[in-house]
Amino acid sequence: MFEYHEPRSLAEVTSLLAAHGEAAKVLAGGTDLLVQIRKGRHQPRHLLNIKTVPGLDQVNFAEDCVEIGAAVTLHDGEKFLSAYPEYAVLCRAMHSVASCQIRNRATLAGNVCNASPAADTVPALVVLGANVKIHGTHGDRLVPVDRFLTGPGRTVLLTGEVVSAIVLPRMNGGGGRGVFLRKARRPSLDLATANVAVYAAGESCRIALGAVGPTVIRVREAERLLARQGLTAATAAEAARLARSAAKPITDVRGSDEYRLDLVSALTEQALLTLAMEVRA
Amino acid sequence: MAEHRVLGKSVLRQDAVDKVTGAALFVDDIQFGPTLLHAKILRSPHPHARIISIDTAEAAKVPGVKAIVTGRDCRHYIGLYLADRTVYASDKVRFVGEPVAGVAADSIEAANAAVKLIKVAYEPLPGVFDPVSGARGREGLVHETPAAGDLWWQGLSCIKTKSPGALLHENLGEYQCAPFIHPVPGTNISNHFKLRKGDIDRGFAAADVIVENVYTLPHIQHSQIEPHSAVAHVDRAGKVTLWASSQSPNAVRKLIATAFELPMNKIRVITPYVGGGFGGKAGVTCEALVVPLAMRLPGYHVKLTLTREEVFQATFVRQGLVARLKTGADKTGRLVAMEAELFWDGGAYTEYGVNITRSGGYCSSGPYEIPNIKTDSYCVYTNHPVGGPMRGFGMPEIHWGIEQQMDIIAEKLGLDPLAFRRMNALREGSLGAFGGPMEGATLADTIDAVAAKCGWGAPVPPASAPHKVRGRGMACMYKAPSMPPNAQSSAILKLNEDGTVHVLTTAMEIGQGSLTALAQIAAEELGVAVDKVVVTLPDTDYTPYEWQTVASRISYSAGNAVLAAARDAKAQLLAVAAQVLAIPAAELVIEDGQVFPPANPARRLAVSDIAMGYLLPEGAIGGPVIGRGSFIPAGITGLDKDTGQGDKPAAFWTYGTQVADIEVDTRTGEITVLKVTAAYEVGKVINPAMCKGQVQGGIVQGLGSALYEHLVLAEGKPLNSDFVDYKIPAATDTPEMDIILLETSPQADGPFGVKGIAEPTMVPTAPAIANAVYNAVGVRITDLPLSAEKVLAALKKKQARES
Amino acid sequence: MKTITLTVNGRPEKLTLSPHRTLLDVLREDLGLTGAKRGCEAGECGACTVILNGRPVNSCLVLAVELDGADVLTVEGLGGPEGLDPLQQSFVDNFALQCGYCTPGMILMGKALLAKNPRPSEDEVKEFISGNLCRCTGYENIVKAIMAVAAGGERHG
Ligand SMILES: Cc1cc2nc3c(=O)[nH]c(=O)nc-3n(C[C@@H](O)[C@@H](O)[C@H](O)COP(=O)(O)OP(=O)(O)OC[C@H]3O[C@@H](n4cnc5c(N)ncnc54)[C@H](O)[C@@H]3O)c2cc1C
Ligand code: FES
Ligand code: FES
Repeated sequence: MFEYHEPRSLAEVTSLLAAHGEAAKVLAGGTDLLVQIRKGRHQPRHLLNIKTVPGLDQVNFAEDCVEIGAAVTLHDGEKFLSAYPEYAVLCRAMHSVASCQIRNRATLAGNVCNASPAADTVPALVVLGANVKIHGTHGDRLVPVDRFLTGPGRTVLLTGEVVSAIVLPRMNGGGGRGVFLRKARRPSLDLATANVAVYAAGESCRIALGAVGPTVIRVREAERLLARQGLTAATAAEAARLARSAAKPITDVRGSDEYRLDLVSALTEQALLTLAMEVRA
Repeated sequence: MAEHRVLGKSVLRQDAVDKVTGAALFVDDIQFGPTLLHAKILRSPHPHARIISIDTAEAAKVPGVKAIVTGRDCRHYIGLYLADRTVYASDKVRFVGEPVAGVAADSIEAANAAVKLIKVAYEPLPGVFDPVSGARGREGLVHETPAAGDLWWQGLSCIKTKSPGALLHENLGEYQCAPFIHPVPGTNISNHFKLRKGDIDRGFAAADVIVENVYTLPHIQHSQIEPHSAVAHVDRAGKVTLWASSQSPNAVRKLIATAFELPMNKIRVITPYVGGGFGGKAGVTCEALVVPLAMRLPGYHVKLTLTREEVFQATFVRQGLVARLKTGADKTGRLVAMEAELFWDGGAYTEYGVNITRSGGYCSSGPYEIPNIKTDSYCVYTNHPVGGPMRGFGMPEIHWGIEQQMDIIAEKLGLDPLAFRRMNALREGSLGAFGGPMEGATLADTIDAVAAKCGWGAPVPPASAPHKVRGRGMACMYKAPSMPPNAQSSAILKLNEDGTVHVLTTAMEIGQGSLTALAQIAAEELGVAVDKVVVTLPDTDYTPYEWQTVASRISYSAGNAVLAAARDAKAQLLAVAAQVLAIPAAELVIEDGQVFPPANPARRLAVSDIAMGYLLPEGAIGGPVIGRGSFIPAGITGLDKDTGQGDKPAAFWTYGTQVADIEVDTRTGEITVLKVTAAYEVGKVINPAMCKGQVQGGIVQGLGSALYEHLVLAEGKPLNSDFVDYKIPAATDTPEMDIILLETSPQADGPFGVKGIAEPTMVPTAPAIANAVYNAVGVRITDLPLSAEKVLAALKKKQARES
Repeated sequence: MKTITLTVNGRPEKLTLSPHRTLLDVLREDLGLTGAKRGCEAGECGACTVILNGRPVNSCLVLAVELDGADVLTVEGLGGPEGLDPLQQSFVDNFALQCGYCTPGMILMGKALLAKNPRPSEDEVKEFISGNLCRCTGYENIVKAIMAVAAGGERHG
């Protein structure tokens, strides 16, 4: 049984978090947290509904970045960003999460904070170079998404800290294009067995893998190869091979490590080939 | 044949408006007010253990706790075909999730808290985790067949036990059982069904091609969207009332009467709407758990609604199967011999499962005529969840192997798999595996219908992408209702003052549409409009006996009872009308609620005028009309214990064929089912839209079992007992479906010719898809499900072999 | 305990609640609105779907205390004394239900879809309802029922 709070400011959130420490949990959409509580995986004594903090449900377009507030749902995030082709990779990732009903509640920030290795938006955010904006008693700090996540269910958040927004770099005009692909056992409403996001802007290309390691994996060796030799059918195949060797999957009921490796190469290659077509178009 | 007015028409469902408005009440929806208490069950964490002690003292102190019961409180053994279990575990637990104690409290939280405080000391015992090891048990149990000597099961991924030896039921020999069930005391074999037809050695000697393979199926779960729920109330006079989400109100009443030594007229079972059954709510599942709690708490209503995890762990699952099939054909393509060894993973209790083993045994030839057959079908106790009936009752399991054998042999002989099946199909008068003549054997009709509809033999269109390959596969099936030879039905039909009709039965509406189908039968026979007929939901104090709503037998069996009741009521109406109109009853008809002689339709009476009798000048005649109908199938015989041979083990057989068109992604192994073409011969279609609905639902369920479904068990512990990791099909999985319903062979003793359809619908889908995978990419997968992972692994293996 | 006021099917309700209770609990146990069903309590089956502030959600994953000022529509709020909502009627006419347990959730999803996309393709319908499990029908008739209303050009409020 927990006590329920409706903080009205980030300052109030941080002071409640600081006061209650481990016993307090931030409640965003609740699509992870309520299930975890029901399964007995978390037993918080205080729940802080951050949706009551004014402004957190906004998407702010600034000169050099886009700030997606911590209470913005996956559905709204997709709607706000759908006009920007450079963010299509993230829109696809957001859309592939769960079901329509879940996306109406689940937040983008929550998907990151929950730190599930299979979180779909994470690889997309990583290839976009997104940051997590953290609010604490000593002010704000920005941490790149891949450094924010330190392991399954683990982040760099310190006691008293809350995520206030996910921050995307603004890619005015010259923005690149990205592709997100995933494979699950069932075509809809299923956690990814493996997922891949790729993104190309100018000469540079980024590749990130999900569900095949304790946290998201950047395939830097493949990225360097593509930067050197350009994106062709041959380099896509080689990049897929490199992605396969970068992945560190486990075996669980959703798939064996071996199968996940096969998916990584299949999805990476397919994503890069699709990307090549999009860039050309 | 006579023109029907309501039969054969897609009459709208009787329950539809209730269900689209939210008016339809399921057990958990019923409001009981302040007397409601919540039950929670303490379940075994061990797959096999002796219970040393149970201490409930701390639990009883939790505020709000009203009663606690354990195995000490209910020692009677119960079971449908084999009385092998108690309501709560008595001295041993035999599966993870087995009920050990129950708590009733005024809130779910209090009940949960109390359950956590019950202390149980267990002595863990070695377990049995696959049926082959379980059957072998102590050395030398199942070594009758020569093949058993060559250890064919070694290396199968489902064979788990390294050192067999555990015996689950020491008292198997003392359990009561039905006469057609043959337990082997001192072993884990709770039923050994033997079939010997012809001469197996001569048969194989005559074969030019012999194919031997092992096929395996994991446990799957019904996954009705409504979790099981039961509410028990005992009044101060000791009368028990039970609201249950059950397919079998009378079976529940009977088993509870046995378990608690109560007369049946002191138990009332009420079943409101049920949110899906598929066999998983047949017999008794969780209903009995709340009864002893309610008995300690007169005046209260004690409710248990299972969580999804409990549904997966502690209600029925479909039994797993390891099937070794050896099939022989001569070079003309005639099947000449078949040998089958079937090891059913029956789980911890097989009170119901034993009969699945029997059906699987006497149907082990599949829908084909094979002169020489040797089958051993073993129901084996394992420390797994309890196996029970699930849509198809053994048929999806055995056809999984049989239908792949057919494709393999056809290929070896260079024959078209469709033509090969057609040639060997059971026909009118063919001798079935059990040695008796088949009646109404219409497999060839369904093969022809499907072939014409899907364009069998036409070139397969190209795939949607370069790394995808298309394929097409077929499978056939047959199924009989598996029930005791004397499974009964009854019905009461009452006329109301205004000429409307109530039909009372204990047939259960579980979504299949029985309310509507039975109303159509009553309306057709009685001559009233179908919207004047209301069929009620069961309440065993008021509705007459029905064995169970299982086995695709309701339209046939309850249908016959309703038909008889309508005839009875009609005779009463006509007798009164004859007197009133002074026209012989034989010259009168009833149509649209009017009684008249066709020769002179103007002389008429409304049914409402005579429903309560009629007042003539000389006095009243007739009286309130009540039709009575009973049905018991005639002429069903037993099978010989040693040979499984007999004349007629079942009431009727339904035949069907499906063709699956699929696409395989060669990079990921993913299968997409594009289209399924299906034909079934059902004798007579009562309601085409509902009948098609059964086929649609069955195909998609079959698709789920083919591609996804597998309750993963690690040392007996389910690893995926939720919808997060046990995937059933979603809307995005639905293929295009082309469905043909045939009426070529009306069932002689079926009402208007009706046979059953609900279960046959899912039987051929999985093997048809497996055959399509082979057709597409040349890999044969014998272990369900056809997960993308398994397909890709097989593809890689094939590539490695070929390069 | 916290007191909230919200609108359910157009009627104002004032409720005092303990914070752990979900919208599904409150609808079923406090308001007697049992049209929303419990199937998994984990967001996987969609049987508990209701429309919250114009959008479909899994009511098993929403804490009721969060809903001060909210507007909730359940299946009981569809149609009216004049008869069934056209989509409800279409479910009847198209045999889009068997056991009926998934039906309230399916109908509300259909309403939500048609409200924002009056002419969806068949694939769009399938995708939109893919968070709602039906074990009985194989979905074909459900998709048909929703498409029939879309094609019929009915207006949806
Ligand atoms: C049925 C189902 C299917 C799903 N399928 C997918 C899927 O396919 N792909 C996928 O990626 N995910 C899936 N998910 C998980 C997805 O819904 C969540 O990860 C969601 O995005 C989390 O957001 P939320 O707002 O609901 O977070 P919550 O549940 O509210 O919170 C999640 C965690 O993050 C913490 N948290 C949330 N916000 C903050 C913040 N601002 N600052 C600090 N900590 C915070 C919470 O304390 C909690 O520990 C599924 C979930 C369900 C129930
Ligand atoms: S009960 Fe809410 S999604 Fe299943
Ligand atoms: S009609 Fe039974 S679950 Fe959909």
